Amino acid sequence: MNEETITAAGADLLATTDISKTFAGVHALSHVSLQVRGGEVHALLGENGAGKSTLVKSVSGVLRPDSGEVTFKGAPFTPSDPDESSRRGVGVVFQELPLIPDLTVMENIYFNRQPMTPVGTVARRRMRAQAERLFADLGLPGISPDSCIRDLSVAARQFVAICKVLADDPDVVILDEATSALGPAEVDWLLAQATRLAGQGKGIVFISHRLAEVQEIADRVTVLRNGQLAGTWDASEVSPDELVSQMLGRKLEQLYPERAAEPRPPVLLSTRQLSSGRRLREASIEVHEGEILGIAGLEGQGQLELFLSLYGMRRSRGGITVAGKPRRIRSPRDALRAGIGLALVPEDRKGEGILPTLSIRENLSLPILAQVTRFGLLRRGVEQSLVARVIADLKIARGDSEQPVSSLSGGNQQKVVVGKFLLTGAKLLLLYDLTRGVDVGTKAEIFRMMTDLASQGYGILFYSSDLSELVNVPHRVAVMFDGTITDEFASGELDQEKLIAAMVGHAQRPEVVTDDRPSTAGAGSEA
Amino acid sequence: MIGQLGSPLRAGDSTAGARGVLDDLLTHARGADIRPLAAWMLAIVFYLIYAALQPGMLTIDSLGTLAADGLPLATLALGQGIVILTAGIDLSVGGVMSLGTAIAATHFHGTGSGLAWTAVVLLIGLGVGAFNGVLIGALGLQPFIVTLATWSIFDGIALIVLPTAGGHVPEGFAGWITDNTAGFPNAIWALVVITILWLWFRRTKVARRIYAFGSDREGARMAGVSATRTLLAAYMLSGFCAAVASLFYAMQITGGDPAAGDGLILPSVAAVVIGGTSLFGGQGGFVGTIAGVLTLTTLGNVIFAVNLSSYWTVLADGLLLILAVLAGGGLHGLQQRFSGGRRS
Repeated sequence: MNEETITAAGADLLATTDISKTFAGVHALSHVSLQVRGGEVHALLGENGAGKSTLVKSVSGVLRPDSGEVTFKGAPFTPSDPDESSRRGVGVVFQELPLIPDLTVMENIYFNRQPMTPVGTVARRRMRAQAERLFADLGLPGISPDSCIRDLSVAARQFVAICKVLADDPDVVILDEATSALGPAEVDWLLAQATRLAGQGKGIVFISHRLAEVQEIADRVTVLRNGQLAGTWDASEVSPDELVSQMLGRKLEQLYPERAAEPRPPVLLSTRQLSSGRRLREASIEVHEGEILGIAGLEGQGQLELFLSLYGMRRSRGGITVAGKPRRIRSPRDALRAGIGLALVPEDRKGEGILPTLSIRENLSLPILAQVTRFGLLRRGVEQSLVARVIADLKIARGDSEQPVSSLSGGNQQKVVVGKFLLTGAKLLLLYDLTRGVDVGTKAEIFRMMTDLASQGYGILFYSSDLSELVNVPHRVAVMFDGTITDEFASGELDQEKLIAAMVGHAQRPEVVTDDRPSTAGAGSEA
Repeated sequence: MIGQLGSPLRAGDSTAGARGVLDDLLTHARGADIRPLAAWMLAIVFYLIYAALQPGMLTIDSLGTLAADGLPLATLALGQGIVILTAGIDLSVGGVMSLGTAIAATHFHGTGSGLAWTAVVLLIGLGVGAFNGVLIGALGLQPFIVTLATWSIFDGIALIVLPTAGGHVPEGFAGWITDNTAGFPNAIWALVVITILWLWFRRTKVARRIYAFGSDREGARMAGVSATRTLLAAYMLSGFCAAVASLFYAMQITGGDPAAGDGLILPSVAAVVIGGTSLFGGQGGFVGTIAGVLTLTTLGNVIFAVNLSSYWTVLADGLLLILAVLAGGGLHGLQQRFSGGRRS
């Protein structure tokens, strides 16, 4: 955009030298050196906890590194907060979106730089014009500068967060998992923007768990492992397999396990023309015993409403039959009684179905308290042995069930979320985007758990925003578009192109951003 | 419903009782939360200061006096603490307290009427709690506003029953709190019984659901915990505790006061917070709260012992509450840092 800020392509714009940061004696970062050149897209990879976010925070002034140096355009760079960092030329789109829900899009974008009138009020008209120009530059027709953040979908919020950073016209743009909340069309837009900005001579740092995206746009790749630099490569020189083994520090035998055994004939779940609100319209699906049914859909095509309706967290119309019995499901308790369990990762990833201050044992036994109570008292011994069984079954890492659940790794926390339903006797598990923002090692564990459970006869309804998971894990994939099931593929006939074509409907490409829609985040709290 | 996992697993049951307590202690030793421990240390320091100022404080009798002073607040804070565990607050305990003392001072004339009206007071407590619980749990209203309103409503009823402080309660009733049973003051017995009741309650499914709800309401809901039932239980328990507390308070002041509860709302919250229960819910409990009650009660006595007017107690309570919130946050932060929060 701003031509005079271009640095000679190929020179280091931003460099960290020997950065170290320790939390409570644990090395989050240890002597990490990274160089970002003008004109490149530099991917930063690593498992959860590898230190990517700590590095980003150390560069942008959120954290102060214990030792080491950050230089920007050759001079020491020590901003005191991300706002200063952005003004001086290093903008970060953070994983947790720092937007103020009650302010409008433009007020958020220009929060610290609102144009003023001579009498000291905000020049709203000028601000609106600025925002509209920015959106036009970025090819974003769908967002109104006057929408309230609260009313936007998570994907639209992600766009605003990106615009907020780009509005400062920084020379280095750091995108920390900016694609995890976006659908395929929106991801394409972002990748195109990243490439375009790099073409202008800016340095782009791109953090993502999706290797396909990295392969598509990165010029160079740096991998962090346990807070240390595993290496930096030209993207054309390394294969995805090599990157994965660098991230893990070992070879990952298989990200996707063997598909689970063939489903058995009995139908576990069938819905007949299930409808809820305006977003779910007459959806009919069937899940057999031992079957993993994948659900594919762009954001907001009714998949969240389908899951919430099946779990009684939304009012719905139409028939739900579980194991041959028609069921009326109006609350999570009804769903539990019908043998259904739901593990849901909300789109904003806040609160992931665990109860953070409770122990692993207390988390697992919560839905079955009535069954471990005698004479009004909880029987700790019974509770303990039930819980121990689940911990062993799902290979939940920690042997000690008395530790707070928040001490577990992300993958193990999600096993706890799923595990509690094995105790309720649920036969049908609804897994909603369980792998969002999760690293490959953990993903592999979750898939293995899913296929194990399916082979034991559990039916699984599995929604994921990552298409390669849908292609590789389920027995069948049903595609949702505009609130209903529009297509279905058996695992043999699946590939990502077919799936995308079905997901965008047959007519035309959907708008990139859908505006003014109620938020689907927060586990359907308004349901 | 346990289904396939049920039957082979009964074996572990026999060892539950004794080991349960030990497990609890070990869990604490591993440092789940140090705030209740800190509260007890604070309470003991205050008590030693008081004992130094007033020689002869370490006798059973003077401990009994202290227990009688603290008993209404302890009972009130037990209920308040349960509500705070759900991340709520119950201001209506003020109204229940006021009305309870007013009824005791005007309607207790002998054993018969005393028992009958005691039942009425307890039912009022449960009723107020149920009303709060339905509005907050089923209709999703804000706890602060709902209980602010019910506080005012029942303060108003208390003023109708007894317009100014006064009246009197039967001597036999008032005397109970200072009497002894089996060589120990009744007030101490009462505290012991309340604590045992809490330890029992802590091991019920209702309590577990309250902790779960306070930890993350959406997560609890997904695990089948009903918000309505959980909040109804919490507010009814709080209302009941406030009703019991009003009777203890009437014994103490040997009469009624239609504003009795108003001055006890802040201490009831303060005792819970000083005792290490998180205002965000899900963490804490009555064991810490008693330390908070002891701290506040001895603080009042210390102020009396150094010949300051009792007005200073009100001021000091507020100061202590702010210090407790600061210290609580600080301690929690330190603990988080040293228990190794590995965040990337």
